[in-house]
Amino acid sequence: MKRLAHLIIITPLIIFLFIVCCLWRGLNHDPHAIPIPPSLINHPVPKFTAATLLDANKTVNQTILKNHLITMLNVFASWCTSCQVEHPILMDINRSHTVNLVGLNYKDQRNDVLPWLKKLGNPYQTIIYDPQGQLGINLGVYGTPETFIIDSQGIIRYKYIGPITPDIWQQELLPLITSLQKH
Amino acid sequence: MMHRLITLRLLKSKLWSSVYKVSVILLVIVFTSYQDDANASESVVNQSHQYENTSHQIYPFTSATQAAQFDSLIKQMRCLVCQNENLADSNADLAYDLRQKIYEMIKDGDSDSEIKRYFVDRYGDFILFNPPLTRRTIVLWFFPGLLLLLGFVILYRLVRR
Repeated sequence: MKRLAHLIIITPLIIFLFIVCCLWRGLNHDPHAIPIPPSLINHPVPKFTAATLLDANKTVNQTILKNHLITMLNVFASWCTSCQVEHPILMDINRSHTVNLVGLNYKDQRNDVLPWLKKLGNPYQTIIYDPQGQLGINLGVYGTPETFIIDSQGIIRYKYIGPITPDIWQQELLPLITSLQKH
Repeated sequence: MMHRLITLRLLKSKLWSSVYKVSVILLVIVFTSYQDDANASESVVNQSHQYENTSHQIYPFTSATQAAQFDSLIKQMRCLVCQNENLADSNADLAYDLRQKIYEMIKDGDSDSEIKRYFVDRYGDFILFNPPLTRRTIVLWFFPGLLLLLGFVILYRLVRR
């Protein structure tokens, strides 16, 4: 009986500690880290037609993302500072010839992005021009930079959100690309 | 009856009564700070009414049903950049684009479920404020009801005594 009485008294304390545990876990949980929807991964790239950035008269479609190499589709914009941060690593990746690196210029203007690319260098094999961000929505893009890994069948295998760092490339993306290439 | 008397007696002892008081105070602090957040979001909701009045000038519809469909959909979907705002309230760039896409889809005659499906496929369940019932959300949906039931059981037993 006395034990039950003790239990009743410390019930508020138990509830408090439970809430503290929940809040404590919440501190390490990034609410901006949106889980990548499983409906996007392992599905073919949606059909689209869009102009290229460098040649406004030339249009491309989803087949540009289907290559004998693994395709890396990098969403970028000249107004995006994190894109500038990841830019050198993209230059290195393109030099290594491990992937078919395609750019998606997202919600940008030719007048802004062409000088940007001239100054920093162009790491992309092809650049798709999406000034209205409509193709971005079709691909489930909600910010820049984002990077899609697409296999030789044109199926989306992975999506990385945020700037690619040398560590991310070495430990996360490159092993995935190598394993996809073996299949 | 017996354990209630012991509880009272224990509460008279210094140690136990202070343990009890401190933990109740802590709980009150936690809940009042939570309340502040709730008030803050309320003011955001009030702002949305201003936007609503102008929304049909930006997104003109020929039929009232389509206008109503648009109004209801943009309230049910989340702005993924600001996260705690819906598409009706948000001024973020992405929210503009998503609203535009919803507008075009409604103009094309797509149904609510087709539009929701399109966005869920691309952005995940997260884009809907109302989470669908899946294996992952089963606790979320049924735990409150379970707690209520438990409350009734405890109440019933107390009253009967």
